[in-house]
Amino acid sequence: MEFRNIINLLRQLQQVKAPSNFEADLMRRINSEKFSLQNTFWQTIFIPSRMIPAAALAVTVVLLVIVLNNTAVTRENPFSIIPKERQDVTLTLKADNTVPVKQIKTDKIEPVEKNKVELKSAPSVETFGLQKDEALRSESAQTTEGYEKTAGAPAEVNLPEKKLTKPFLPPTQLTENESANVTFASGKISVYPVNKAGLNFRQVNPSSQQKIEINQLKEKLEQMYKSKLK
Amino acid sequence: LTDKNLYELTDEELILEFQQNNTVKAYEILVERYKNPLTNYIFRFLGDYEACLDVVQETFIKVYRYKDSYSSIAKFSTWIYTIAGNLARTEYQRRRRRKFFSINAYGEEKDEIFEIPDESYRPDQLTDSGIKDEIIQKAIRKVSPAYREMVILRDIQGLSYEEISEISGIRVGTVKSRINRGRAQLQKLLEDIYKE
Repeated sequence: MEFRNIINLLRQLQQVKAPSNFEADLMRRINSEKFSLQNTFWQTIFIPSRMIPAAALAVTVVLLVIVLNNTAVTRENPFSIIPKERQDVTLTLKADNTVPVKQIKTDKIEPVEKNKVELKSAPSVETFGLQKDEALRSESAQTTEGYEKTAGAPAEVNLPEKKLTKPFLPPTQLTENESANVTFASGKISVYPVNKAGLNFRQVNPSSQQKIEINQLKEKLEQMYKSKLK
Repeated sequence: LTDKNLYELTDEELILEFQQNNTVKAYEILVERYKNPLTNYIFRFLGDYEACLDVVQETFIKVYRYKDSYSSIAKFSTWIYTIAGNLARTEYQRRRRRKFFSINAYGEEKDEIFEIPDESYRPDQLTDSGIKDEIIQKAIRKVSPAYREMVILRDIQGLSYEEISEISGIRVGTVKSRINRGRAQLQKLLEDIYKE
């Protein structure tokens, strides 16, 4: 065994003993010291050895909170931000405050010369409703290259409302309180014009396939509407 | 329980008796059983008899004061050795700091090397075996405190590795390696003695 000699030396060491009066001294110390066995909870808490570090910690925390509050960057909660008013939506609202249920290009559509809409940086818009939106969209795409930029910096649109000699009526000729009955295969339903007030719209750039589908639906609705009028 | 019966109880039963019924006699029996082993352990660690007695007394006072914190799942010897070891380490560090500052203060004034006088080693009062013990004790004190504690508990107090592990809160493997390193240091320091 490597350390046998050392182990033997240590085991042979004389045992150091406590003095004979050890117990008496100990009991005297125990009896003389007033142990804090009966100390209340508050007595044990409010002793300087605990109070001073606790107070120092509390002060440090308060200072940190104050300093951090002053330097913190205020960031808005994206969910609490009120979305910006979109010019292309308000444009339509100013024009007639309604969105036609169906946008049909028929002979009945009045020329839009009466409802002149002037766009500073865009070609003049000759129609309202979806066609006008499309025109605006294409304009903003030309000027700002994309929807995101358009939302931040909308194209300047002047709407000379005073020039509107006659309020625009959608091809359906329906006002807000009027309705039309449309018969579908599943049954007959009433169609109301949609009020755009208070609504927010998402601008969508449909794909060519989706455009085709939308046009087909439009045509179908147009046919249904025509048959209804007859 | 009569006094005679109390002497027959184990350490764990005695401390439980002291906890539950506040039987001071049970506490006194525990003091009687552990005063010498603890004195030996602390003295070997600190190397100062007066300081050692203070630490041992403080240990028993803590046992008296915090008897309720003893849990019956642990061995009483492990618990009391842990208390004593903690107090001894605190005392050791306190004394080392005090020595360091006193040496520094002296050196600044006199601008010369100051050596701490070792008054404990007095050959005129010691027999041959006493001298040998003294040399060994001095060598033990030169061993690193972390290793020293382990060597004392194992080779002088005769505790098992598992008990030492529990007392010091270190894994058994670490305990063994520390003991071996401590022994190696001692062997180097006591080369001349064990060759005799």
